[in-house]
Amino acid sequence: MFLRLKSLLPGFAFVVLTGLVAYLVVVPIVLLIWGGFKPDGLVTSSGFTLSNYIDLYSMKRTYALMLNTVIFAAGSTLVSTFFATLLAWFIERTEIPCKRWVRTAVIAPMAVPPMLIAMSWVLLGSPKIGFFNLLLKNIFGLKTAPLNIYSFPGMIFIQGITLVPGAFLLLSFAFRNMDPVFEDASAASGRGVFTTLHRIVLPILRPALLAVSILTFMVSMAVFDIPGIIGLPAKIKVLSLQIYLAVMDPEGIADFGTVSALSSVFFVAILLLSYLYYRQTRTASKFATITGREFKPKMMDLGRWRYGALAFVGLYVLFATGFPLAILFWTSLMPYYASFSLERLHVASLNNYRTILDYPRVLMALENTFIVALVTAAAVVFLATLVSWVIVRSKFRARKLLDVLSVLPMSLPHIMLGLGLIYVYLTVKIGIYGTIWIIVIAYVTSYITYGTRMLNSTMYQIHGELEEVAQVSGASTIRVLRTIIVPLMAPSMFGLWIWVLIGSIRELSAALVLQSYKSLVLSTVLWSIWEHGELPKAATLGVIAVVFLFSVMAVGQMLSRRFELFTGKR
Amino acid sequence: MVEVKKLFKQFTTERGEVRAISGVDFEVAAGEFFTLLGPSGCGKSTTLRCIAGLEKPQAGEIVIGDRVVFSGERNIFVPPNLRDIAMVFQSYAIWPHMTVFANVAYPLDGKMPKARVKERVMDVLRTVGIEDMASRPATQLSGGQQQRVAVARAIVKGAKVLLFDEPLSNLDARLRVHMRAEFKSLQEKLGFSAIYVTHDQDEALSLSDRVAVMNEGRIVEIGPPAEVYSHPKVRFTAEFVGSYNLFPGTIVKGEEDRDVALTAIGEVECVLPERATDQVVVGIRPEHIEIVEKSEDSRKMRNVFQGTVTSGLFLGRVRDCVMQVGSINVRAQVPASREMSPGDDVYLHFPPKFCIALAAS
Repeated sequence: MFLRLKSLLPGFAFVVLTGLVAYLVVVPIVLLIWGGFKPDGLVTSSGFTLSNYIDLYSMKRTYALMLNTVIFAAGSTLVSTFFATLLAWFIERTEIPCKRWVRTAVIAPMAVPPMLIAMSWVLLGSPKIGFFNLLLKNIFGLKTAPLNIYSFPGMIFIQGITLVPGAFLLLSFAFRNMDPVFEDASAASGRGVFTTLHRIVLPILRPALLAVSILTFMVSMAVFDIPGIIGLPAKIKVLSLQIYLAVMDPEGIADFGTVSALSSVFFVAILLLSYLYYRQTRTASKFATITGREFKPKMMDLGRWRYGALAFVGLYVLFATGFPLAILFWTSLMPYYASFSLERLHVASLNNYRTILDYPRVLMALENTFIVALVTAAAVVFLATLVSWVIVRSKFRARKLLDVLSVLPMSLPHIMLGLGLIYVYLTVKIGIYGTIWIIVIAYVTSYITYGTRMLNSTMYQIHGELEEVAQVSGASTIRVLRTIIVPLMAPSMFGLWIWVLIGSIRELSAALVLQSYKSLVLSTVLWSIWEHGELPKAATLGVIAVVFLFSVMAVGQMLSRRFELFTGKR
Repeated sequence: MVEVKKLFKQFTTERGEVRAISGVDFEVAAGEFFTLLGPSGCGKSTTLRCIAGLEKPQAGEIVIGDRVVFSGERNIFVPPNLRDIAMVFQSYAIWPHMTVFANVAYPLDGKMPKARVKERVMDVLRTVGIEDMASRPATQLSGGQQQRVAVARAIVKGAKVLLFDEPLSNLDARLRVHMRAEFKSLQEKLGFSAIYVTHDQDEALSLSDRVAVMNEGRIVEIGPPAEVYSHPKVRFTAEFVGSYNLFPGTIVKGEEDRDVALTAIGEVECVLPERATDQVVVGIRPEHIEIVEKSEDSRKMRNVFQGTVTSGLFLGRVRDCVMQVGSINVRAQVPASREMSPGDDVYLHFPPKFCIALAAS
């Protein structure tokens, strides 16, 4: 009898796990969609109406909004894919000098919160105060500022740049895993480098390129940070910004009905895109370039052009990261905002850094961020490990459901997730509304997808027989998890922990929508300081954040190399 | 020691339901070395995994010792960690994050005091000959050494039944032969029942007390190695275990009222099948065919046939020849010293005791 009960335990645990993930992921979405059908948008009120949708589709500005969003996403994708492809090719496939530095310089900016990049570019490219504008006006004696960051192209450019590191990682993986045998065969057939490139290499990479583009497009549709900082003053609205404005309506009562309807449409659109992405990655895997044999990719000798390539990369890094961080630092040294000029050098001081912690809001925000980031990272690692293990190793027939549930949050823009959670916790009154805990829930939900994908790939590499022989040797399920799975997964779990830690500190939109006076975090207090026009203070906080995040990243890298346990690959 | 009754197992794949085992029945006695032999996909590994509890069959019964560990009817399923078994995997499955000692001690952890664990583990390591590697990290072992660690881990808890899933297929040929002998002596010394899965007939024949030949989810034939090799009862066994020349024939009354098989090459005296049938398949192994003198006396002997050599390959120990006998191609293995050239005429003798006749079906 006891054996019977014990044998039901795994099934029970599976149900609990799936239920938890479903609760985190599905409930906000369902309430959001449901709210669209309520006259006042509140799920607890009675009535069912299509008027929200009708109003939405009858307004011209809805279509303008959608068009803006699509153009913005398409533009960002183009910019990002262009740079990411070139950089990935340079680093993975050519003999460009200083490769390790270049790679670090391209990837490291992932630690920088995008809102800081936007802020820095305002400081560089705004018509009134932008450094580049003043410089160019001085040099060329222009009357009006040549650059205007508060424009559609400006927004697209910055968004594109911030998406490069992510796209670069995916593309460099694809480049690295391309078996050089295909190029060898082309050479053996008498074809030169250029022909090989455009008739063999690019077509083989096309599925991967397309997949990365679709993913980038999806992300660009959903982001808020940059359209939020630049779009507001530029009066360019994309969907995410519109949702934010509608929810934070200063006049008090947000039009939840229309917002929910709008969000639901948005969500469905991104869901369709993610299905497209899923199909595309299936195709890409048919062009499977990973043969399992060990091979060294063919490196192209650039000859005279190698310094030209290095210069290109250098310029890219300068404009993407160098100048923005520099102007940020400069601004943090100023007592009040002023553009860079040598005369101002004497006013520069570290005063702002000394006083920044005197502001109680800032101190509280930093404390909150600390707690939120640590709890989120731990929760995500814990949850993702269990989910990943069930998806990859268990024999439950319903594990496909768990897989689908864990992928769903990818299609949910964070601002919508925030909105959905507002509904959930206004309805389910467990008192976390307005606290940092609702923010933790938002973050954990948003990282489930990345966490499970990352751990899945490691879990697949752990030979199933390592687990089976432990079972046969008498170990219970818990013991197998504890003594075999977790030690072998540890490096990936650590990597995930660092990633989520950094991401939680950077995250803005969900925290913004869910904020209250006592749940400020670093990103929201930074946003509010910026909105109040206190540029030097914002810059100071920004620099502190960047330095901290870079350190976390660096320490993480070092530790994971030290930590390098065996993954069981033979 | 182990009873497997009417086992059924199917898998759900993208292509639908795949029947892995359909009605497998056998028993393994205490201390017996029992092998499941068959081609890839025949269900032998699945059967083994069902006995281990790593797969759950749809129907049937499995008994280990005096305990029913699986019963489809009575809805009993004992998980693998509670069965009195141990297993050696094809990939050895040595945990890379532990030392040799920790790997072998794992089944005993928490079940007895540390001192006793250490004693037992070192004892077992000595038995397999790797006691000086106890503190070595598992990643620094060669294939053969990993193999021994896997075996040590399997015998350390004294399980009565040991399961082997193609444990030698990842080793090179020489090591394989060596380890084969070691398995056998280990089993004889320690007295466990071994259920061994392989597609390699040399292993099966040399190690086993009994061999079960499997094909397409069913056991085709069970018997001691000599029987299975020399007197296969079924065509599949004849074709799979070693090689056979096979050609159809009919049982008729021949000289002196004996039953002989009438074939395309003439009357062949052979060992008749157990069940009386008319249509048979006659077979003889290439190595049993003798080349005899081309003389009148030879021609008058029974089971002598004339043939023409079409090819002869020198293989070192033997010469592998193909001859045309009437309308049939016959493969024979002759001593390498014998010269054979295409076009030569030869007289082949099929010793009756090595000719088998299988029911044609």
